[in-house]
Amino acid sequence: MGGDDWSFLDEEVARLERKGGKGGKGEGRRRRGGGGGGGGKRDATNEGRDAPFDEWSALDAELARIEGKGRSGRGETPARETHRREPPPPAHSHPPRQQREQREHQERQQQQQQQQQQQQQQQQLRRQSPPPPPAPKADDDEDPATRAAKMAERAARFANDASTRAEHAASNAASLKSRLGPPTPAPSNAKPNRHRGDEEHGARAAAKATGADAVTEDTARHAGHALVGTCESMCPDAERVDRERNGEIELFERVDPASPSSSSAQLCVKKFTRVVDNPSPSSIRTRTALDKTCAHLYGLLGGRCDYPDGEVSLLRRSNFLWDRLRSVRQDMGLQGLTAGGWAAARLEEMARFAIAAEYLLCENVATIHEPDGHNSHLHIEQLGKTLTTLAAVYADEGKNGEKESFPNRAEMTCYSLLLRMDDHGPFRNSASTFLAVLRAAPSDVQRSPEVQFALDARRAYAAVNAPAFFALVRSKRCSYLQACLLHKYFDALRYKALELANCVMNKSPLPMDAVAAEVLFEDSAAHAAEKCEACGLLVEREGESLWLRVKEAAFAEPGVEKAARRRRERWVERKAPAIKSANMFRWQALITGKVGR
Amino acid sequence: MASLGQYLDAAAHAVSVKDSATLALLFDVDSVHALGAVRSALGDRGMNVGELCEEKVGAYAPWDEIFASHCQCLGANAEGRYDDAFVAMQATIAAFVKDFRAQDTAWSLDALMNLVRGAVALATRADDEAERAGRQRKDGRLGDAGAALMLVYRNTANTSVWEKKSQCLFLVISLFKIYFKLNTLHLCKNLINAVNLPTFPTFDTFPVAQRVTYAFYVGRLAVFDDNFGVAEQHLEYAFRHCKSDSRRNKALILRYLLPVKLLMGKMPTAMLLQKYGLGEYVDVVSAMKSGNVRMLNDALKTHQISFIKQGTFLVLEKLRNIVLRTLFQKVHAFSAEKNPAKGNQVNLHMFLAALKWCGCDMDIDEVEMIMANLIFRKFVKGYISHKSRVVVLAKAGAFPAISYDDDRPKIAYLQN
Repeated sequence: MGGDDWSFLDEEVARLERKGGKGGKGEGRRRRGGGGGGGGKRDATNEGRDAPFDEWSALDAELARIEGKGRSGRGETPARETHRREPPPPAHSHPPRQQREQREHQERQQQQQQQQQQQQQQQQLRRQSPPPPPAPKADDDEDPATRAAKMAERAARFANDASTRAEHAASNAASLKSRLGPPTPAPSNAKPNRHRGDEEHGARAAAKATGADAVTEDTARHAGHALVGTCESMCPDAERVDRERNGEIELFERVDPASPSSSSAQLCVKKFTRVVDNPSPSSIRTRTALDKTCAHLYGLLGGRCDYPDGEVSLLRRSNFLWDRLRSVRQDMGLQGLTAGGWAAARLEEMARFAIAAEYLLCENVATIHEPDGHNSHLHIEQLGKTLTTLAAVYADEGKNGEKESFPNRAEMTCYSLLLRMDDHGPFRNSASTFLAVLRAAPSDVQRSPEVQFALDARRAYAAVNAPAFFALVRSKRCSYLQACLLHKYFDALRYKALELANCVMNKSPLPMDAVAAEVLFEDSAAHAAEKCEACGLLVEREGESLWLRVKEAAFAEPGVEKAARRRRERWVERKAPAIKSANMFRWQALITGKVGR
Repeated sequence: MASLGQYLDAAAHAVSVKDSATLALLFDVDSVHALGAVRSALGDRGMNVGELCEEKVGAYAPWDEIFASHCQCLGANAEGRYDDAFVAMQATIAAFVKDFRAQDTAWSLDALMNLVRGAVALATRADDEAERAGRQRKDGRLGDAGAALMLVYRNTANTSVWEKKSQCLFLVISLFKIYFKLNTLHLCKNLINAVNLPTFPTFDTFPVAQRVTYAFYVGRLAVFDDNFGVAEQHLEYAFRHCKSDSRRNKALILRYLLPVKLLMGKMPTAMLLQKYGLGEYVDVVSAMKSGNVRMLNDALKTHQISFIKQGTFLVLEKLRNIVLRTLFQKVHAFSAEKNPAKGNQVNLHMFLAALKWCGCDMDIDEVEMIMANLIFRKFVKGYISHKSRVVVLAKAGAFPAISYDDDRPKIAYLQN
């Protein structure tokens, strides 16, 4: 609710206006005090500026400033300025605008819009990809950070600036300006981020953790087809040469495993970096390059899920993939390649990989002592974002005219739901986040067996019904990947079951075997005892056998430090698409969805 | 007012004498007068709106600007360009609020409220238009409308002029409606906090319709947060005060009140369900009365899609505990009759048999777990002997009344 945080904008605007007032293209006073129509509350609070304000001159000034010095990463601010400098045509009060003029403007804008679309189509044809979706395809409700980015309805390119794309928008504006005759101010709609929450609290928590990251990857897609990549290899040459020079080539990219300064175009993959400047098209990969990259990356996983000590561990591979896939997603977003079956397929692959990796690496947790371990938090965050973008891709279908069907939508919706069954780690979920995902799906997806499975799983979990829950996991209805996701909740459920048992059973000691088998569904009494002790319950040792002394100690929910570390479990292992005897794991089939779903 | 000139004359007059009612009428976006005035203007190519405004209303400084953008808005609205109309409306509101802030009486408040209503209407129309045209910008304008409303709210609430606050509740419920539509429910919490502030006018000073709407939304939010006591109080208040002739509104309130009441163990009569067209709940209620778990499962499954759409699905799942308890009570009665000596003990296998008879196939471990849950959540009082698979119930009060956060005091402003 607080509009006061935007005070820095006031200063920014004041500064820009002072510049704008001096320059000027003599278009006359188009605005007076009325402020920009777009921009909602922010405009309103900055109202009352009676200085004459000519958007073209201001744009010139802005352009000069940007080209003059490098961008200092204040991406947000200028973008909002450009928004406010573009008032909607009919809405402006003062200077006498005849209705006829307005209509002519609209016609011109429509023409430009058509021109722009034709241009885009030509580009697309050149790249041999399906016709692009209509330019503004923001589905803001899904993505927290993209709220800031909005496509202007009225053609003019410079209205295209998303919050962080100010720079390239300005450059586009410059090029457009030369092409268009009279200025065509367009309503732009910078939306204050705070007023549009999103339904996925988990994603929001995640987005907060890496705010700018979320903005760059996911927002950029709404900047529209502002960029068209031209890099045909997995890594832009400039970057590769740079990294070679600095000795930053990672293990998987090395020609000679010992030397970090040599790579080749067949091995080097573009690294993820936050984009602050106007990225040049040569540093962004084309669709075919992205396809090539993904295939190469998944190939790096090899054919096993456990590598003996002499070889490169799954952990290292997974960490490498995590970073490089993030970059792929970024490139997809920057070019607006986030619609249609191709995008859905790539994102689905990433999701499946993330889920499997999350489970397989659950034992290699990153700690202070092992900082390179598997960082569950980051992986889950990326998974959340991938699924969110995917949901937006699914939701956008049908707007192109042809109804595209997404055969894996039910599967992916199920993963989204399972991710939000309860809090895990730093992510807070609740009934409303779960419900929001459920409600967003169309009814045929809601009726699908996968989503029904997710509902049953949640029911069993919420009712602390461990027998039903584990029966569900064991059953044929549960696929490998679903089991991988549910694995996150195993321990939480066990602790709850333990709490129940401690409270509700009568006061006689229970043999730990019984506890393990019937209450905790653990593999062995030893593990069960470990959990009991972590909760502060009394475990008694009588020779060989362990007993749980029920009701003799208060149950205390184990905190993060005391909680037993997660282990891979036979519940999930049994479903793995693997040939245990030969230690082979079918990564490719798993990722493309042939098995394990 | 046949012409724009006359319209503006009337406007100027209204402003000069601070005529609240006329001004409000003039600012109504869909009023016949406005439409008429604008139509004539649209036809007149020689007209320059800005100049005309300046000429007629120019004497009253910010009003010429306000009216100019308002005329733009009316023009766009008349021509069906709702997006432009909305954008113009934003400008009008912004300018209006600036002036409003400076005023020391609330004479233009009604006009402002009409503008607010207009903004919401135009935003909805603009979004519909965008949706139909296939431009994927779902609810873009509605969010902007929300922002505009927040601006208006801030200027009407943070003021020392008492009359300016009289429409605050209206703004709050308009914002609720927008947030519910956009599914950004977390933003509602701030509004509720604002309403609970001591500086907010007393609840009773607002008209009944607004109070009912407010209670309805707050009740719904409480349901989402599992705050059933709070939810019940609010929804009951809303139901009680809602006029009986607004059948649709009553049904709407009941749709959310019913799950809450059911969770409290209070059943509706069949007549009530029929009167308000809540057929989905018929099976649910009969399952609860008889303790038939299978029937409940089936009922929930059959109407799953509509329950999900209403947002009550997850809440209704909680009813299962009550149904199980009812079933268990029957099992207990049966067992006590068969074996009066051990009246307070029930063999879990008997419960298992009852469940099987209902159609639920479970094993003994699961039955024990269910029982453990019932005891843990205080639906049943007793303990379980794991070895013998027997539930030992408390000698007295084995089936306590269902309650949720009962120790909270009753909410003050809902007591009448």
